Amino acid sequence: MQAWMWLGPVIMLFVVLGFVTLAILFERKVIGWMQSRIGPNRVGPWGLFQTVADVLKLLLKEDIVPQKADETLFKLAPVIAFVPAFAVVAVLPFTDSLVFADIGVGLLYFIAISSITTIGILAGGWASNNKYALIGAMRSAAQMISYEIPLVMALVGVIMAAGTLNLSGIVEAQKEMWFIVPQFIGFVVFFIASLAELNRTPFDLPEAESELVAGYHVEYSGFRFAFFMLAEYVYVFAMSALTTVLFLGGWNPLFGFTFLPPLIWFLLKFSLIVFTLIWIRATLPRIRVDQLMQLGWKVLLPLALFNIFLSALLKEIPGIGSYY
Amino acid sequence: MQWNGEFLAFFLLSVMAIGGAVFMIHFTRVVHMVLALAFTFLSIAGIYVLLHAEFVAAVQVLIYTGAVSILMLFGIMLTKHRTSDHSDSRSRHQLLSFVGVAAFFGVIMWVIYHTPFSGGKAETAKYTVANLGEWVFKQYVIPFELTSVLLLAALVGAVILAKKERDA
Amino acid sequence: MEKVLLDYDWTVMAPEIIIAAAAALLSLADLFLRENTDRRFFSWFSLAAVIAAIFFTVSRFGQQPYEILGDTYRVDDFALAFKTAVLSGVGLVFLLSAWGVRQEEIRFRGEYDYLLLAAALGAMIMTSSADLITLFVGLELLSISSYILAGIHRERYASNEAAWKYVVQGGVASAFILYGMSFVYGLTGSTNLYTIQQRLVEAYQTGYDAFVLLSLFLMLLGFGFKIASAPFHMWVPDVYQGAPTPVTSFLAVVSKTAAFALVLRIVLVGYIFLYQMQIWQQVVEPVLLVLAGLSMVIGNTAALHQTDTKRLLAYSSVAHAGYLLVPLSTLGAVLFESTFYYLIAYLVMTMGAFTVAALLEREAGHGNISGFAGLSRRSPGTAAAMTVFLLSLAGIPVTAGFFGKFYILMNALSTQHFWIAGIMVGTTVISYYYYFGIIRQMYFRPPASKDRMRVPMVPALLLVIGILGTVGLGVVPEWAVHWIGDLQWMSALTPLNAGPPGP
Repeated sequence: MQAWMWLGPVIMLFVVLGFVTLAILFERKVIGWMQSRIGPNRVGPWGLFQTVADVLKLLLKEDIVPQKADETLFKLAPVIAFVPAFAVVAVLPFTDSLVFADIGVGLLYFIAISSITTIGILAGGWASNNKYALIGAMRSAAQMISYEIPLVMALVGVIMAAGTLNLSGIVEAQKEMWFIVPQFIGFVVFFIASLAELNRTPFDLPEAESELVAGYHVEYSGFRFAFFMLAEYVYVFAMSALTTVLFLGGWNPLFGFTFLPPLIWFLLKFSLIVFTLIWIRATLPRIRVDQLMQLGWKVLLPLALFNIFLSALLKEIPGIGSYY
Repeated sequence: MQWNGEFLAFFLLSVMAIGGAVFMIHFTRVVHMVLALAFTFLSIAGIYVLLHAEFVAAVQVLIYTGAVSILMLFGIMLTKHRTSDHSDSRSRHQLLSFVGVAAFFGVIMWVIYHTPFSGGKAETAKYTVANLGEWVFKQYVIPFELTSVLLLAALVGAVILAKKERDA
Repeated sequence: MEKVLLDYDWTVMAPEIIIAAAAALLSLADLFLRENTDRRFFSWFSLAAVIAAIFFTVSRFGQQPYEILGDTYRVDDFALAFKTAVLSGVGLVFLLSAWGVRQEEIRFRGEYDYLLLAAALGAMIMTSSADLITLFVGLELLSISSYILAGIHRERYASNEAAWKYVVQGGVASAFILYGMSFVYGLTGSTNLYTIQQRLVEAYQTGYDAFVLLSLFLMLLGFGFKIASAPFHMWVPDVYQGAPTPVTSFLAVVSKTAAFALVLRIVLVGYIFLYQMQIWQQVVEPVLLVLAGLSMVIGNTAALHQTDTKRLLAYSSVAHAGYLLVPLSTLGAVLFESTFYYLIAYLVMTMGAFTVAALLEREAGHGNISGFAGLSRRSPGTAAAMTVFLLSLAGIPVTAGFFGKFYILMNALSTQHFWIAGIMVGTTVISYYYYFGIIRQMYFRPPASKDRMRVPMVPALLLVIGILGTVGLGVVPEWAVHWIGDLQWMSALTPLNAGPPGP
């Protein structure tokens, strides 16, 4: 038991790192395929070691700290950005037994801890002493604050239906019906808001390369840059897992197909979400800053509030009330 | 007093919280101040966890460490200001503040050491989020509703005080 | 067994609900009205809401006390009396605003009215709750709305300065109150004042005496700020001077009344046992009396060399806070009666004085005392009214102010506190100098312009109300005294239902 306490997280770290490596390759392959290209295919069979080579390249790069930068903060920022990303993984239940920290307010913990990353991004952007970096960081903060509200509001419906903030409890509550069906509005709002929280296309304004060079990490190189990238992809992992848990029934099988083990079910749904994220990236253009704010405050937030109201109303109706 | 994990955690978190607060006052660059403050908020959240108040801890991180600190940083970066705060206040004033604060600290410490703490430990584990929710929406529904009026007033106030002059 | 929401009779909350609904309606109306529509009717609408609220408040007099949800809301005679005073003050402020706040000057005319309603709601809650959380939320609602109102005249530098100073110092004061309250909660495990009443005694007797006193003094530190007593009065002159005049009158009249209701309720219910244990007389009373004495001395002497009318009235307000603290510290037999009488006397005379100040500010374009020069020739009626208010503020016989001071003085003498009575009389004499300074300006200085000053209907009405109140309370004080004496003040101190709620 004691050994697992220490070993578990280490294994998890490697699993996550492995996922990140694969996800980047997968993303490039899928996008390539969608754009009628081949994608990386030189390093290893089917380009399998492309990401590994990229990481090696990053590690060997010169570590540059700009002269006018705030050195301490510049070095600290990638750490502030990455640590929360890994910390949120702790509460994710992959199966009913495979969960590291089964805490009562798991969902809230996830949302809360993930918001700390923005401080890292903001600090990094500011410490670089570069206007592109600063603008990128500011956009990131504005975006995160604006979209966190609909994100949390969209979850209220789920919480009301499950009656708990515990993630395992929420999965248990989906034995009969996945929340994506009764909470469809909540799911849509959550999914869009989570795209924005992940800074992914079409919400990748903080690092819009065509206008901001590279956004908040423009001055970073080598290992520190890798940390920011890592944080971003770990969030893709965590957010996809969270979406699976909250709306797709976690490890619950579909149509009672219990011959597949729960972990496989989880992975299947999880991969579907990851694929959708990549698909969206290849499909949608980036939106403008004002459109971003309009969408968050004038569309998603009212929708999320309406969803809460609707869920509360439907909960009182006999028959379908049990699904809410 | 036993040196168990809980005490160690409490000790570390307290030092972090106080340290963050001290650095917040000590730093001269405003951005560093806010980051130190965020650090204090985070440490306080840790203390809440030790008290089995997970919900409060999560909300503390979400609201204070997340939203409030970021809004502060945002505000600082958006407005024109001197990047560092040159303290040119009179030393007499500082001395007076120091004496006041030291006296207050002395009184509090005296009160704490003067009091023989007795009695058992409270059972904190039984207070769950569900309990909290029931209390807020049953017993404390009047202050809860009033808080919404309060927030609305604050929101309106923030908007009218910060709104740009159209004619200017 | 356990009473839940709908088991209660919520109609007792009618005044609060009316005010909240009016504020909500106005904010919606403000949203849908066209930008350049005159929003002055907002003030009349608010006034109507306030009058309706007064009606529902007054109609509850004489009925049994009632509480909702473990005293988070409570109506007893104490609450009703103070709420009536608060609402009357708010009504007068709205009357003044309907004339005195113009959209050309203050662009946020609509916001002004519903923030004032929100502040009034906070003040009402402060008078009628016996739960620390509710009381604190009410206090903050009042405070935050007041901060904004003080700074609502954004084009004026002084208004910005007022809001800034007010918010910083007010925030610190709230922090002290909250810190004190957290100790109370730690000692008793409850936010209900009556449960606190019982458990604080136990805590005091089982070795936590220092903490009990610490909690009291921390709260008093914050309360001192909210009632504008020295040495926490630094914000008063700047804020009173910088804020728009109707807002200043609101701060002077309504905030002070509500703050006293809050202080009386918390201190008397929670800490009355100290009196029976003789600790009050040894520790708390001297501190409070020193605060009271300091307020009188500082307020009255600093007012001597003021040249701005509102600033002068601000220092006078500090001095009055000092007088008002005397009954609380000595805890005489007529504690509630004398405090309440003084507060309503202060309400009518201060509202009158601020109305005149607003009139002259509009006329002269500045708030300097020299604006009063020759007022007796330009508008004899206004000058006469101002004289009455000033005499009352100074405490000259046959005015409300005289009888209020007399009442407090009697209370102090009957409890054998001669030195504070001496300070009271001495500082009152000092105050004659600056009050008479204004009278001298009005009657013996040549006016800046010869043409007569026109007094519009609304301020004239306010002046008439002020004079009726000031003279009426002064000539026939026994009516008010009888009415006040018949109220069941002690019902505020006793719980309604046995058995403490809470974990």
